[in-house]
This record gives sequence, structure tokens and C-alpha cells, in this order.
Amino acid sequence: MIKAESLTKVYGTTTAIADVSFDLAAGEVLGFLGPNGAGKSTTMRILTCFIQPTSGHATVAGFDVTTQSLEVRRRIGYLPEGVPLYNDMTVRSYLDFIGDAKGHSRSLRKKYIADAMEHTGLQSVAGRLLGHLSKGFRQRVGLAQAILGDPQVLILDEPTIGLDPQQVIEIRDLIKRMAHKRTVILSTHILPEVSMTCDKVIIINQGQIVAQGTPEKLTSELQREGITRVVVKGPADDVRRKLNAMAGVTSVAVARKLDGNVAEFEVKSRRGEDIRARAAAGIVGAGWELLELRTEGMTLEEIFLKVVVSEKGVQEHAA
Amino acid sequence: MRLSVVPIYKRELRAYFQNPGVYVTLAIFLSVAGWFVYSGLAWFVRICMDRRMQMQMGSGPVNFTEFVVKDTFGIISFLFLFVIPLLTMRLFAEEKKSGTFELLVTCPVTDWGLVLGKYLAALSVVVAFLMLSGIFPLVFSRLGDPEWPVVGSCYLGLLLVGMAYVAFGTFASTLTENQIIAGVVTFFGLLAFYLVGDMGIGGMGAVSRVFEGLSIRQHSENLIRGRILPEDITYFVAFAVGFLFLANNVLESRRWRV
Repeated sequence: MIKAESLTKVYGTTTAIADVSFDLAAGEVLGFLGPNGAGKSTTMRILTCFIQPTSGHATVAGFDVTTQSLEVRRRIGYLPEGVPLYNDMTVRSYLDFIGDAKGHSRSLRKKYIADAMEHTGLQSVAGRLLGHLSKGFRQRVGLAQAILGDPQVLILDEPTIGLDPQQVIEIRDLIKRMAHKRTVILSTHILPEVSMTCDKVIIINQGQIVAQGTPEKLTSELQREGITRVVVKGPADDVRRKLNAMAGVTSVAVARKLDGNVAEFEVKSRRGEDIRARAAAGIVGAGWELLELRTEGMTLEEIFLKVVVSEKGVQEHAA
Repeated sequence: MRLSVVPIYKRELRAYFQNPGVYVTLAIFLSVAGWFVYSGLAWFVRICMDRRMQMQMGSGPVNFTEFVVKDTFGIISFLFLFVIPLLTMRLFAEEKKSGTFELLVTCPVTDWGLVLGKYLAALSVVVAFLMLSGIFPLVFSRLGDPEWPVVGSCYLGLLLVGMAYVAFGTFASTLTENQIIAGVVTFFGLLAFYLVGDMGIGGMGAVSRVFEGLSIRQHSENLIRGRILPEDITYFVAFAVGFLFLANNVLESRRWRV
């Protein structure tokens, strides 16, 4: 549905994005993840035909964004960053204008507006001026105009920024409901959002894609060591020594001492090694009591930090 | 191909009528014009009285159209220099500043749709101003005997001047996201076109003819005198079309500009 091939955008001497490529099938939800200024908005602006790439190509539903911009724009619902709205219009008249600009007839518009307002819960404020709405409602109006007319592709730039937690949850639910019938690209710098809503993640930093894949794939690929937490009742030093001697284990540390000879150990192992069976057998075999044993996956947050924050990570994964 | 002029036009016109600044501008425009009309009439009355005394010595009656009507329209066309920048400066600059421009141009509307929709909306407001200024000819018809064909020619002239000014203002508004800058550029740009005819004075014949040919005042003077010449109409239409093309080009340039 959406295909980007080595998109590059240069502003004067600064390169906003370099060699950004990805491919998105119909019905997929893609999350753009990156710190502020990483190039998320630039990529989205190219896809929505607001700006043209310095080099590279992109197609939306088979139409080229530079040469068939009108066809592309007919198929896209776009929520720009910051939700710019005309403050002197009411919610209903604004949505009517957007429907008109999208080229829908009066009767269709009526139906589309009713649908969009229902999806976004705007009925109660339909007659209010946009300038008088709270940030959460403005965001919903932005989403309503994006989904108006049921476009095939939704491009949402920071849809949950600046909202309170309750509103964030509502907007996320809304995106989840809208997804899968449509192809969605959303950007965020909030990590849980991506793992909650997206099928596919692209981590972008300083204009370059540093990692892409499903959230699960990223987690397993980027996880270079496994962490297993073991709670054992027994002499802490002996347990530590025993665990440390096992094949595949790289280090053992006492994470926490609990009451009465019970301690929690953090066991790090090489990637791909499952040491749980060995650890359990070893501990039980030594006559200690095994109280708890679990592996810990790396959260997307940790991956993000690993990839984006450390220069080393950037180099390794860009290569 | 669908240009999408109509939705843009409708929204823009609504924005004008909801904008208190437009009403303030209108009030000032009509008051200032009205004041000049009043002083023109007062002057006319004095001249009439002077002449009446002289008539016994043999001079003819005073022409009302010559003294009052033409002056009034000259004043209105001059006031347009101030009024029209105020009306057009927000057209694109405001949208660029507030960010709504991004949403607008990512809708399936063409650049020509944007330019023409906004241009026609601003022009409609100018036409509304002109219609309200119709109060002056009404007053004239009660006080004197205006030559109606001349009044018609004056209105045609003002419409043409309005078309040209609004086109220039639309163009200036595409250049910047600062409304003040757009307004100032429009005002001084139009002032330059207004005064350029005088710049050739004392120069060589050909140069001064070129300057006069470019001058807005030169071309509107004929219409105010009641002479409708094709070259004047061509001048204003070409002026408007030219600047609308430029406005469209500026909008297109955002795509490839670095």
C-alpha cells in the first residue's frame, strides 16, 4: 500500500532524512519511533505530498507522491503535528469544509461527518467553536477530519502528544478500532504506544532508520543477552557460585535479599541460550528450594534506548 | 480536472464575514470616503455661489459630475491602496503561520483552486465595499444631476482596480507567514505601481512613456473621466492575471524548495 524507496530530504546543509526505505501492506499499522527531530514528520510530509523528497521515490496505493500528488491526497487522511485548526469555525462547519475540500458531495458529506463524529465522540461539541475546545477535543477533531470519508491510508503525526492519560487511552483505542480496515502510519516518541497499537515499528534517529520490524522481532533481534530472575532459598554465595558455573551464563548478581535466607538472583546469559531448565535442575539437585524462575524480555523502551541513545548502537544497526 | 475553487471560496468568505477587522476597515473606509464626499460637496456649493455672482457677468453653470463625482471616485481608488492590503494580507500568511496551510494543501485541492478561491473571496469583499459605497451616488442624485454613464464607468474602473490590487495582495500573502509583512509589501508595491507614472517626468520620452504605461493611476484616470478604453481594461486584467500566476508559482515552489 505504501512504499518508500531511499527517501532523502536535504534542507540547505542539514539532512532531515537519509535513505529511508520501507514497505507497508494494506491493513498494517506502522509506528514511527524516534526522538524529536529524528525525521518522523519529514517522512510523513513527503508521503502526504506536502514536501517533495530531494531524492528517492514513494508511492501510496500505487500512485507516486511527486507526479500523482492529487491521486495520493485523495486516498490519505492526515493529522499534522500540533493539529492546526481554524479557530473561528465550529466543529461541524469545519468538518463540512474538509469534506467539501476532499470532494465529497453534500449528501455523502452529511453521512461521513456523522460517522466521523461518532467514532471520535464529538457529537456533544458539534456546534462549538474550535478555538474554545480543550486540547483533547481538538485532537479528536483532528482525527475526525483525517478519517472523514474513510480514506484508505491514515497518516497521524504524534496523535497523542500533550494529552492527559485518560485521553491518551481513548485516542489509542480509537486508532486501534480504525486500524486493520485501513493502512495507518503513526509517529510517536512514546514507546508503549507502539507496542500497543502497531504491527510494525521503524526506529528512526538523526534521519536514518536504525531498526525496523515487528515489535517482537525487534525485541528478539536486539536482545543480546537473556536475563533470568531466580529466587532461591539457600546460602546466597553458594547459589551464586553454582549458577555462575553453568554453561551459557555470563554473570550472576544478587538482585535483592529477602527474608530468611531467600535471595533473588539476576542471571545474565548469552543470547538464544535458555538456561531455565539447567538452573532449575542444578538448584533442586543441590537441595535448595527454588521459589521462582522467570525470564525477562527486553522492553521496547530498553531497545529504543539501546539503539537510539548509544552511538555504538546506531552504527551497528545502521550497517 | 476539479480545481476545488468553491470550497475554498466559501470558507474564505465566511472567515471574512466573521472577522471584526473587516467591519472596522469598512467603517473607516466609508467614513473617510464620506468625509471627502462631504467636503467635495461643500466646495461645490461655494463655487456655485461664486459663479452665480459672476454669472451676471456671463460665465456658464458648474458641472456637478466634473466637480464632485469624479473626485469621489478618485478618492475611493486611492483609499483602496490602504484598504485592500488590510483585506488580502491574511489570505495565505495566516494559514502558513497557524499551520492550517499544511492541512489545506494535503487535501486533494489544486494550487489554482487555492489561489482562485481565496482571490475571489477577497474580491467579493471588495465588491461588497463598492456596493455599500453606492450610497454616495444616491446622495448625489438627490443633490445634483450626476451623469450616470460616468458613474458607471467609474464603478467599472474601481472594479478593475480592485481586481488588480487584490491579485497583488494575494501574491504578496503567499510570500510570507507574517501578515504584517504581507500587508506592507502589498501597500508599498501598489504605491509604487500607483506613482510610477510620475517617475518618468523630466526623463526621456520613451522612458517616461514606459513608466506611464505601467502606472495604475494613469490607467484608472481615463475610467474616472468616463472614458472606457480597451488598453486600460487590458492593463488591469493582465495585471491581475499576472500576479495570480505568480501566486500560483509561489505555492508550487514549496514542493521543490530546499
